[in-house]
Formats: sequence, structure tokens, C-alpha cells
Amino acid sequence: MKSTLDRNKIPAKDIFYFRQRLKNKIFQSALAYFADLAKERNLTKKEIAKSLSKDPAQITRWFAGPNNWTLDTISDLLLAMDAELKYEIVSLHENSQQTTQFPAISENSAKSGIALTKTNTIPTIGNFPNDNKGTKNAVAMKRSLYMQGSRQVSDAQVAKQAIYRKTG
Amino acid sequence: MSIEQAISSRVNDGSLKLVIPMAPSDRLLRSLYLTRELYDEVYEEKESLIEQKMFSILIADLEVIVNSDTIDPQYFRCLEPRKAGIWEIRSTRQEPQIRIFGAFAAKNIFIATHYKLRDELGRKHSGQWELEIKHTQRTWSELFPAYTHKKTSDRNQLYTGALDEEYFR
Repeated sequence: MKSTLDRNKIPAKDIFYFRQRLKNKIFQSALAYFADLAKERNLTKKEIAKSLSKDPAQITRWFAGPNNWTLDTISDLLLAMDAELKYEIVSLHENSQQTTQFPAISENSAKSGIALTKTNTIPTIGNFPNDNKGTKNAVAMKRSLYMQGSRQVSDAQVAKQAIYRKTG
Repeated sequence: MSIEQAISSRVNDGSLKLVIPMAPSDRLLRSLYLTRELYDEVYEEKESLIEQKMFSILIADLEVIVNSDTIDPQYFRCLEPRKAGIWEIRSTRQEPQIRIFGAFAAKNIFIATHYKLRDELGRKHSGQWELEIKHTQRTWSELFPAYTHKKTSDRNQLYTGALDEEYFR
């Protein structure tokens, strides 16, 4: 994808796509955060509704999809979960993951000897080594450190904590 | 030949196309393949603004499978009868709503066969749903005559990052 800074006019289809992509990313992140809290602290939709003085059906509607979310919805929901977004704006091209993190060979492909390349004719991708466990653990650790009183928790701290846990 | 190699053959002969996220910063966590016909319908240039909007939103929704760390339980739904192992991706974020049908070849590898507007499908247990299941099964057999798709409805066996349905009831 070309940088939007190098274009005279951004096509409408790109504008629609990126609007939805943003909604989807916030939606999936918020629901994942809720699922973690539900698991760890038994938080329920009903409790969120109660804390926001809303009908539980409203929370169910929110959780059904991001289409009706506004910035106020996001703020309310995150507040009810004692959470907030990380405010960092980065270039779309700054962390070009597709080239740097794309797995060279998947587990299955490794077994069958199929090498992967980053083209549109990628043969297949199996169980990626980069599943979400690491991410979820990092999120959980970050929350745990935050609850322990660290106001500023960096990724480096989370990484350190992970190493300490591994090595005992 | 493994199912992965069979997919590779279908990609090479042009019957399947891999979805690569539009944004360069997005990671590729799972694989989504579309049949050639579906890919062309979704990605071909659209003339009207309404169609551009509809399919751009659909593309963003499809990419959730590819790049989202987690996937909410309403995104994927296993169709009844569940033992058939046919799934729908629910693009509920717009009007008209869209359903994409397909099946899992292996963990984190979804083969999408075709789509329908939600309005065309009628009520929840209408005969149209059965027709879509048969359509998916037929397309699968044409693509992979020697391989069956995954038939479990256990999300954790089918893809990583599945959020537990229990918390959202």
C-alpha cells in the first residue's frame, strides 16, 4: 500500500476500509479485555450495565458489534472495566509487520517442506508460532503490574517480568 | 499429499486466493483463502459508492480473521447441523449484512467458498441455510476431492484467539 502522504486523493474505498478496520480493532480489543476480566474477576455484562446505570440489553447490543459504537461508548465501556486506551499514533508503515513478522515457515509447512514467501501465491499457513497466547500473557502481566502500583508499565518491564517468571 | 500441499496446488492453479491485509502494519496470524469467484466479487473495482462502501467494510471484516489477536464469538458461527462443520463469517457491521460461508481446512486455515446477503437467507431455520451448506460442501469437494474439512465445532481446535462464548451470554 502506498503512503497516503504521497497521494493527491485517498480513494473512497480506502476511507471506508480504514474506518471499519479501526472499529474492528477497538471492538476486538475491548471484548478481549472484557473476556479476561470475566475470567479473572468474574466481571459480567450485568455488572457493567449496573455500573453505567444502563439496561443490560444495551451492553448486549454493544457486544454484538462495533457498528453503533461512538467515542462515548468506548469511554464508558473502558471506564466500567477500569481501563483506558493507549494513546499512541504511529505511521501505517512504521511497523510493517507483513514483511518483518511473517513466518518464514509454518509448523505444518516445515513438516511438509513448503517454504513461505510474502507474495500473493503463498502456499499455505498452518499453526503460526505467533499465536495470541504471548499477547494475552503480556496483557495480563501488564495489568498485574499496573495493579501492583506501577503507573507507567513499559513493554520492557513486561518482558523482564516474563524472563523472571521463566527463570524463577 | 497434505491438505497444505493441496491448498498450495489450488493457489497455484488460481482456484484459491489468499487474503493479505491492506494495511502494511497488520500481522498475518491466520490464513483466509477465498475461492477465485468470491475473491473477484469482493476485490474487483466497484463503480458505485454504495458498493465500494459495502465491500470495503466486508474486506475489513474479513481481515479480522487474518490479523486480530482475538476473535469474538459472534464473528464466526457454526451452522446447524453442527456436525457438518460449515461456518459463517458474520459481517454484521453494515446494512446490508453479509454472510460468508466456508470451512476450516486445518487450525487457522479457513477456506471461504461464497457469500450471501443476510436478507437472502430468510429466517434462522429456513431451507436457504441448508442450500448454502450444500453449496459449501459441493465447492469443497471440487477443490479438495481427497480431503475432508475439520468437522469439530470446538473453536479452540479451529483457530487461535477464540474468546469464550460463556462470558458473552
